[in-house]
Amino acid sequence: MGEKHLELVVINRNCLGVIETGAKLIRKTKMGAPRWDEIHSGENAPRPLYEKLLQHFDSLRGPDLRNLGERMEATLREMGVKLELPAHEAQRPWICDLLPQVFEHAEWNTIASGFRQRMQAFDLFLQDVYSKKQILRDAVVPIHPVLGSRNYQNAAVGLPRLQGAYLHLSSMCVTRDVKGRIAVKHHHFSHASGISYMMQNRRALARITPEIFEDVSIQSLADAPQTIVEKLRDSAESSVRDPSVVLLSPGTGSTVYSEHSFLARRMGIPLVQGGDLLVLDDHVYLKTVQGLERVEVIYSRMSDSWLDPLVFRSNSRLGIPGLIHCLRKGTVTVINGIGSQLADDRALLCFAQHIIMYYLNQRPILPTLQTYWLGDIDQMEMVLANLENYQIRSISGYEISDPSEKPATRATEEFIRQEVRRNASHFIAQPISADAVTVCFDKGKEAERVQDHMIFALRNGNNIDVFPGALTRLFESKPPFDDNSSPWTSKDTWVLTNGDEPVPPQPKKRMRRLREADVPSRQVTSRVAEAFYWMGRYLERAYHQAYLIQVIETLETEELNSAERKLYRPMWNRLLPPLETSAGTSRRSITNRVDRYRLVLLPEPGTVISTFRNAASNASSIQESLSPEAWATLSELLSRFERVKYRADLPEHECVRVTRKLSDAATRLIPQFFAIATGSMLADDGWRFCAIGQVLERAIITANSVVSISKSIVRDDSKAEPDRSSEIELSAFLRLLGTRDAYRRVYQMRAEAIPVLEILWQNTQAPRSVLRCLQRCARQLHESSPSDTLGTTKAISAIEALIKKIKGINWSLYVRSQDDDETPAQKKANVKEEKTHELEPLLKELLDSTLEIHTLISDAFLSHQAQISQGVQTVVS
Amino acid sequence: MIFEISHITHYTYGHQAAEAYGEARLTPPNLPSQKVLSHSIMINPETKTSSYVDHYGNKVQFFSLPFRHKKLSVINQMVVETTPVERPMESLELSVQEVRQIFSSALTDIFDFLQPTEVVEIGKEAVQWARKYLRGDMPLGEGLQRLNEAIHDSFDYKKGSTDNSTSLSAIWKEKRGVCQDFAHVGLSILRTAGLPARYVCGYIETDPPKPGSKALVGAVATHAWIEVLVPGMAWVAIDPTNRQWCNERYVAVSFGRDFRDATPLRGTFKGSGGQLMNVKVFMKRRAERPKG
Repeated sequence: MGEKHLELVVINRNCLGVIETGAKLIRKTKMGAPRWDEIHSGENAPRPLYEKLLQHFDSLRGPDLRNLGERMEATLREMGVKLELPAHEAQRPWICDLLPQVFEHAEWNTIASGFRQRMQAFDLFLQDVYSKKQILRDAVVPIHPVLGSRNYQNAAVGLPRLQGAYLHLSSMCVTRDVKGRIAVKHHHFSHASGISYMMQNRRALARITPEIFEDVSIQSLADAPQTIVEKLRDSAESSVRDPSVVLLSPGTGSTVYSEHSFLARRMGIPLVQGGDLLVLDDHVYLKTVQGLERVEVIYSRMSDSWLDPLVFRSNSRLGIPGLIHCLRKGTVTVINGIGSQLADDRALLCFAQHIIMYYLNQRPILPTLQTYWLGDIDQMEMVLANLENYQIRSISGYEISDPSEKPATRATEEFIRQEVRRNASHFIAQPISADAVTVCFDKGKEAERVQDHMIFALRNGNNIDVFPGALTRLFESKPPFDDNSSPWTSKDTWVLTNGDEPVPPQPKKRMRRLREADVPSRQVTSRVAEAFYWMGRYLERAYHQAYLIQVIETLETEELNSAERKLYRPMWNRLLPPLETSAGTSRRSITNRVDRYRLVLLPEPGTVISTFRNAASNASSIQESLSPEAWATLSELLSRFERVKYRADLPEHECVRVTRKLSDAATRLIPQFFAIATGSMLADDGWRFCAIGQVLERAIITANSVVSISKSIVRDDSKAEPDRSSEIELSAFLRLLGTRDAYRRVYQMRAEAIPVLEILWQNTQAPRSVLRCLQRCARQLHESSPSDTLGTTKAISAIEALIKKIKGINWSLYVRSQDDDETPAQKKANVKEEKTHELEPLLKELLDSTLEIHTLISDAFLSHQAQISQGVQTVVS
Repeated sequence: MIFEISHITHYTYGHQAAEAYGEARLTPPNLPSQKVLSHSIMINPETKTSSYVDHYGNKVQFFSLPFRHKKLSVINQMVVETTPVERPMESLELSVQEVRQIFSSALTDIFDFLQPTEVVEIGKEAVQWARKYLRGDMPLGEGLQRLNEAIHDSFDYKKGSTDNSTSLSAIWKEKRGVCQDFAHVGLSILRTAGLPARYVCGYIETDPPKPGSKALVGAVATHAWIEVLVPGMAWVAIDPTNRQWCNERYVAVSFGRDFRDATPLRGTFKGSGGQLMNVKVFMKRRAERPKG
């Protein structure tokens, strides 16, 4: 942050002075272009709108101001407001300036009507170019920028739309040109991004500096998300009663994922990704742990081209195959309408005026910023000759990425020139003087920024409502090609009410405010539940493996002699948890120090690090569902693993040190994660599936381990004396399963086959007993499944059947008891010879039944195979 | 002529697929040159299909298999009667320049068939060929015939030499490919010359017409050729792979800007492991009914 501060000083020093033009003040900045001054009307003379605000901040001392700024940042962080930058830093703190941007009532009315006019005109334009194409036939707009645009979607022709309209929730970027007029810089009709930031800025500023809100009358932004979802429901309601709406997000890869998550939460609708939805019989369904639920309206935050791999990019894994077909059949709607992205094509900015005149027969209320299409060779040469005065932007999604990008350096300019010459028709240019200069507070000091404003509007039947506010974006210098890749900060944006006029009452009639009782229990989608489930399983697996390594390390160095080591080693390998696929299992070995080092750190399947990474990647896909404390524990462990790199040539004693260090961290932090999560998280369906994964994995590990020692349990018993080596082996075995202490407490005797089998399979209290794990698993499933679908019932009854079977096993039928009272002859008589041979098959069968529980849970709750294959069978018959 | 055609596609997945979705463009249209007497599509494992007509007029069957399965078969069967159609000689006698002129007022409607696509790129060879074979003063019909023959003569037909990921520029360079590549080469030249053209996917009877004469290339799998739009809004079909104007031994199934639009089966599945596809086409001419 220190660096940023330095840069600011430089900007100030490079201010080239102040030019008066009439009564207006225009600053000439380091970018070499004169600009409108938003805040001042003369040297140090604030405009009346800002007078009081500046006075307020002037009255604060530097440290106080700095302190306020820090509190602001902390507040926004607490609120979870984030903007993720893909190429640069992973996550940047969201910054909202202390000084708000203010719009007067009258000027805002003009902006709002200009927005309405444009949105109406472009909706009519979309309706036309996706049907009769009259505007092209009449040659008002050339054919190429429309039909040749990569955002023109043939698949959109003839698709039904919500209320016949393409645009429902739209955005536009406006700016003040050098004369102080508001002009339209860019259309974001198809994709309104930033509403949550606009709202969060208001909330944060009101919390940090409530005093500046006194004595001003600002139009309220509250409930924007609810208004949006109400309108979506209303417009769909003609066809469906109480339609179900979901917000479709590309997932955590999106730079504005925190917005998706905020909006979905405030709208009270599920936040879903492509994999959460499924097409069956021409309808779209949401996969939840409660079963499949019909979806009628999709509020999409994804580009058209990713929506359906059957129609658009065939490599899209984010989309829903078959979605477009459901749209065609009218069983679902997507807003904004498929194909609307065409309206955002920057090449069309040049024709906005004609489009408005053509469809509405009106003059544009808001001018469009001077925009040059560089496909025109004269315009291109003119722009390239004065490149420093222009902002070059790509027309639609065509991205320039220059890894070495630094604002306004020679190298970047060269790079732009090359790109523009190579693909001129992909670019437009706008004068950089378009953005006004404003003032913000950075680290308690006044600093200069240039700004533009993102404004938002929502269709309301035939009308369009513009939200009275904006996301004002501040840039330190001219923004590079892609807004998302350049660091920017923001301002809360006030729209004043008309002093004389009372604030129009909000239309209360249709607003259903969600009461606590009405809020549907948080639906957990199957994807989220599945991520939780695998997180639980992988964490338990990683824990167990690290624990095994730790114990064996201790046993080897402290307790066992070399003969004993030789005896146990084969067993140790068999104690490794089974993997889902057989790949790599044979190579895993735990028997010597270097092997154990490899087993901890080698980046291949089945090692502690890769198992833990699997857990962590599942966790990060559902990070917003985890409590920050729980997440912190996981990321601590992850960073410990990431800090150490596997080295094939590491000396043995170093291997031991690293192995110990990492397995200690894993066995300490994983249980800590479960404890913290249980204590700090909502015990909803998601978390329950983590617990289910954990106990099921544990049951599988125990069941698998017991199979591995079945041979030693039924070992040759011709010796009358109790088998000493067998006892040591069983005792070590219990220790490796973390059950030796529990065994001693329960039986208070040395380790013998039957009680060992009992404590590992049938005990209801021992931590790792299969029975106890399965009982916990069944309990959790009962809690999360009130619906009596066939799959659910099948899964639960299978677990219960297995529990019953386990309870009924009499181990003494399979194992010779070591009762001292009996003579060898009696022993022989007691035991039915053939039964001892059946122990191993029995244990294997039990293991298989335990493994089968996974498939049943997955079919019933996660992949819905149970329900779907049932559905399909009825279709066939 | 009456043809009985079976077109069988088998997919075998490396592992089970959990969900699969697909679109079949396998329904032959009724055209002046062909009449569909019967048609059926069978999908195994059995599932419902749901149809629509796409942007290029193809009847598409959408199907979803959102349950586990190891194999997928699509069996397309039809009986189609073809009749020879006169070529629109009047239009074919117009010069290339005149044709371009006529179409310039209809650009909005034929835009798609004049544009390069991701697979039908326009490169310097296409420009050279367009200048050479489709000169403005040349009669359209003569130009098409010369172009068709030139593609056939300059490119080697070599099965398996290319796949769907081979770029057109690579085909220009290697000068070899399969029917799909021949069609793409033709399309890129025609569009460069300002003549609207589309890709056709269908079947061709390949048995030698008379014992001893040469069999045509294309069967065992689906065939691909080109149609050119001529004034009067009629499509004229040429087959650069077989060096001829298309005739009653061709059955057209689907159309588009390129292979991707017209592909008979496209789909996506979830599951680990790859898939193996196996396609077989059987085309049999029914014996002529005895006259009288």
